[in-house]
Amino acid sequence: MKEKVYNFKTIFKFSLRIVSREWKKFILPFLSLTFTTLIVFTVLLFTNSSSMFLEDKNKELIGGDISIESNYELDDKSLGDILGQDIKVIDKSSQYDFSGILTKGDLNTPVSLSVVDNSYPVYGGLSIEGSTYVTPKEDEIYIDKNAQTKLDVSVGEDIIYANKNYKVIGIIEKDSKSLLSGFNFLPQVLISKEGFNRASIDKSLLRAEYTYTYIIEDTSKDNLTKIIDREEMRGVSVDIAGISEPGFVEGLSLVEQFLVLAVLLSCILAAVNIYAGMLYLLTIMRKSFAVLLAIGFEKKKLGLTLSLSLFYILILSTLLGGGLSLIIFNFIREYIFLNFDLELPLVDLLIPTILTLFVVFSISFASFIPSLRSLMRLNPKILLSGGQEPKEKNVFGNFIIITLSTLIPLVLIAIFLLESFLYGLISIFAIIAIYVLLAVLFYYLILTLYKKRSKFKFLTRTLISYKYKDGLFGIVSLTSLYVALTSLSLLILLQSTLTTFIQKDLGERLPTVYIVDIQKSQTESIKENFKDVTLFPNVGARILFIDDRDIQKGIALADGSVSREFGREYNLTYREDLLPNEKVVKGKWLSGEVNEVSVEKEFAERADIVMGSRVVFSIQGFEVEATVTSIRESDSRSGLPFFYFVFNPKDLEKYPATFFGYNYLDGLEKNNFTKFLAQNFPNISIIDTAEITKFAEGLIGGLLVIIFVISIPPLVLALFLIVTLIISSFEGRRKQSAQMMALGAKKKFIERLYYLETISTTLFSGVLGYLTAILGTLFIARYYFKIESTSLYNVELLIALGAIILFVVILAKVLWKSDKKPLRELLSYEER
Amino acid sequence: MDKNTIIEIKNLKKEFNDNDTPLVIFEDTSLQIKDGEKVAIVGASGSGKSTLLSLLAGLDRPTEGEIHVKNRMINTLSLDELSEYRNKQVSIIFQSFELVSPFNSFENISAPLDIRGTFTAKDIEDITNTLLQEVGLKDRAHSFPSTLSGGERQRVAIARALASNADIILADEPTGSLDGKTGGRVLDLLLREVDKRGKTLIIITHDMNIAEKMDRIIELKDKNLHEIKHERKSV
Repeated sequence: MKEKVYNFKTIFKFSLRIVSREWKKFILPFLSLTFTTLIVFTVLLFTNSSSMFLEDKNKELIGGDISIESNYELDDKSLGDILGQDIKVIDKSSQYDFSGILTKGDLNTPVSLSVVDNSYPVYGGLSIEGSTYVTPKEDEIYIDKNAQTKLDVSVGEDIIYANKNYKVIGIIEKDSKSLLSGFNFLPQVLISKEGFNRASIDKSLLRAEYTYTYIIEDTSKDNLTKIIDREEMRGVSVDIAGISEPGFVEGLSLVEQFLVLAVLLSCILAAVNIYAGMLYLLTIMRKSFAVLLAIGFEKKKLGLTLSLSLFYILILSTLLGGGLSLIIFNFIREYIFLNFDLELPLVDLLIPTILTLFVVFSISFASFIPSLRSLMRLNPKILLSGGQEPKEKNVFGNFIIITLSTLIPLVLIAIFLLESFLYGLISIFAIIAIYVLLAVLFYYLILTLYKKRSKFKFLTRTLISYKYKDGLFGIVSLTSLYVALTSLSLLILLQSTLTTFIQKDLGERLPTVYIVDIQKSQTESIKENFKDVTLFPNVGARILFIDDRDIQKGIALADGSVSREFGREYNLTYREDLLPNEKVVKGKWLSGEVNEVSVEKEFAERADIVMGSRVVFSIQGFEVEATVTSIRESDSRSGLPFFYFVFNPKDLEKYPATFFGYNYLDGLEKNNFTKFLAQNFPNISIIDTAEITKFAEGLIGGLLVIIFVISIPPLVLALFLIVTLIISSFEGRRKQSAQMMALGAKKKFIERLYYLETISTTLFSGVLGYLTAILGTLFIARYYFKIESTSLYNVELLIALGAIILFVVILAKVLWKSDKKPLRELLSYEER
Repeated sequence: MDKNTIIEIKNLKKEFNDNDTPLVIFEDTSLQIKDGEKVAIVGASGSGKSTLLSLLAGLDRPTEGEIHVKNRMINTLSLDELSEYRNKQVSIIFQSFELVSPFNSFENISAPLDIRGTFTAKDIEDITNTLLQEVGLKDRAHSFPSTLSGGERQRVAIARALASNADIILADEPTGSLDGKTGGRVLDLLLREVDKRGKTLIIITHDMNIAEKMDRIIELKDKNLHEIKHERKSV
């Protein structure tokens, strides 16, 4: 016992002495750890806060944690079956939507009526002009601005629905759910269930959409994903906040996915950064450790002493990094609020703190052990007086062990962040595979160059020999630099891809005005006056047969053989060309043959429609048989019209159709357009998307700010890693440079050698990193974000990479110039 | 300066400013060394022997005084001129060998020739192979310093010092890191090669047995150099 206490005292004393006496050598690892803690903690705080913000927006758009939509009313048992026993409901609300006519005096307008219960809305999203929403009484009604204009009615006045009077108690300003599934073309009104009962209408006669929204206790992904499997069986649509991606919600979930990637990349950079810091520390401390071994310090005790010294540094750096991170988080949060009107929520510090400590401590430990082991293999005599060093055995074996042990914490983090064991494992192992591949590539490249070095000039030959002899340290340094530059490039490319997608695809494609209820006879005049307006015919039809399946009979039997989804009326359309948001994925676009039909891909999958399938429709009592000649993918996120069935014009033109259209107009143009329609075609309804667009733009602005803020810390971390590696490399070369100068090499030669090494490795890693990032972006955009358009050529990134090389040159120059140590001191024969 | 004098030190002073307290190593020191002489510099630890050698090698500059080598004052030379001086006029053998670790034995020996840049590849190969043969390391030409024993490393260092064919060889405790037997062999090799080539040798040592094998023994004591009369022992 006494001996143990004595041992501990010795270890404690020496560890304190090492840190206090050799503190200069700990500066870089200390800064590295502080900086890593700061970045990881800041990124986690921002991602948590942003996720909460996005989750809120997501729920606002969906209306709850879960939203179940159906074409028919679902009883409690069916809803319970869909949700499952394991989902605990905190709050729920049900509503049904259908179209009807409202009148006031001589004025009338078709409207979309929402009948809601007392719990509606379970989650925010509904704002009323000048007041707050309360459930309407049985004789009260809320209407939107569009209905208000059509009926020329004010708050407090009465309007009539189904021969009953309802008092207008408020004007709906914004219903965020309107962004969820395309746009509702009819004016919107809202009444309570009691109010609907008062109208004494038989609900079964209405073609209504039923929506059931829930707030649930456990919103973990695993819990919610189970519902997806159950809903497919019943022909209902279930939207789940954070999982489903209907309409605009996809934009939000993309940003959340980006945040996860940003955290992962930060952790990878953190790992490499800590590793580089540890390697640097152990390299420059070699001789001090050897002295301790030489004076009889046991290896085990030395290991513990060093671990304890590192522990002090870790504690100090995590405290400092964590504190600074909180200050920065609050400062940026305030800045975003003041400048972008975006209030990121405050977060619970527990999880980010635990995660940060886990990342920093576990990676420090994992990267410290292999370096320490390799140091312990050396004999003090070798370190002190330069005896015969044991040959570095099994370089690749050691490399793999170091890589794996450093990355184990990353695998755990990835599993945690991606909420999937498999994805976590795959993503990190994919990174390891690339990392190891590059290491092997680099090793063989250097080996080949080394074998042929006699063909090069002395300068290049010296550089090749340096790189060859660097062995494992050289490989780790280069691959670390590569990881830093790849992460940096990947993040910028993903940020650019996402920004372009959000701005262009989600933002710019959203039309500024919709027009509905256009008669065929009015289309020519509209097109003549406004060439840019895009019009679409709507031909109402029901599906009778899909191949040999009798759809209507199947629905009447109600045996579950045919989903009730297929029993409703569909809008068929006809045109000659594909829309910008469409792409044929199977077959050929309409060629002009008789009765060809192009079917939307997801609908085709749900209805078991394949290429060559025969679909029979009923249009105004006439049977129309069509053959499926193409399957189309259609991007419903853009706010552009979305049709399941598209025909050749000549096949449907003979049937009665109404038209609707959209246009991109601003200010005066929009006024002229509205004026023209009001004067010439008063039956046509104009829907101004300004309110919705304002909300969408606000959201887009917020998303872009989040992406930008989250991207910065990993980029800074990458730069810091580059600095660490350059300083390590500089330290490592000082002695060799001094030896060369003692042999007569001029300073210019050493300087050129130093720059050549620094720039060539940065350039090599930069080019490879950029190429890898391009592949990574293609893969992530296609399979993770599920977006087609990728931004692979990025001027900002090229400028950034150029700036990094310039930065590296400047840093190298500064280090070079600041090294005033006389040659005599650099040579160990006279270390003062 | 006498025409046979190869090195002349005049009124040399060297001081270090450690923590603002000046530490004078030597002052007003003078010395002349003739071409082809073998001189031992002896003295107690910390007396400044290695500092004197570093001044002669152009690795450091004196605080005051002059150092003339082959009629040229070296303490006013630029850094590049000093590099050239180290490459052509003097060769240094360090106690801790100072072999360039990424270079193998062949490359370490040929490095001064590569740096000079006036030799053809064939010349470099011939000179280096001859030296490797002479120091008995023909079969260790491709070995790296880390795989050589201390004695082998010092033999490479001696070969490297001879490669540049400089007139002056400065050796700082060349056997200090070796055991007695190996040290004796290395010293014999060094003296044999120096004699064969007629080079001037200045050796730093604290071992009087080694010093007595030189033509002259100079002791660094009380911040000055004092010649010790002796009979040269045969090698």
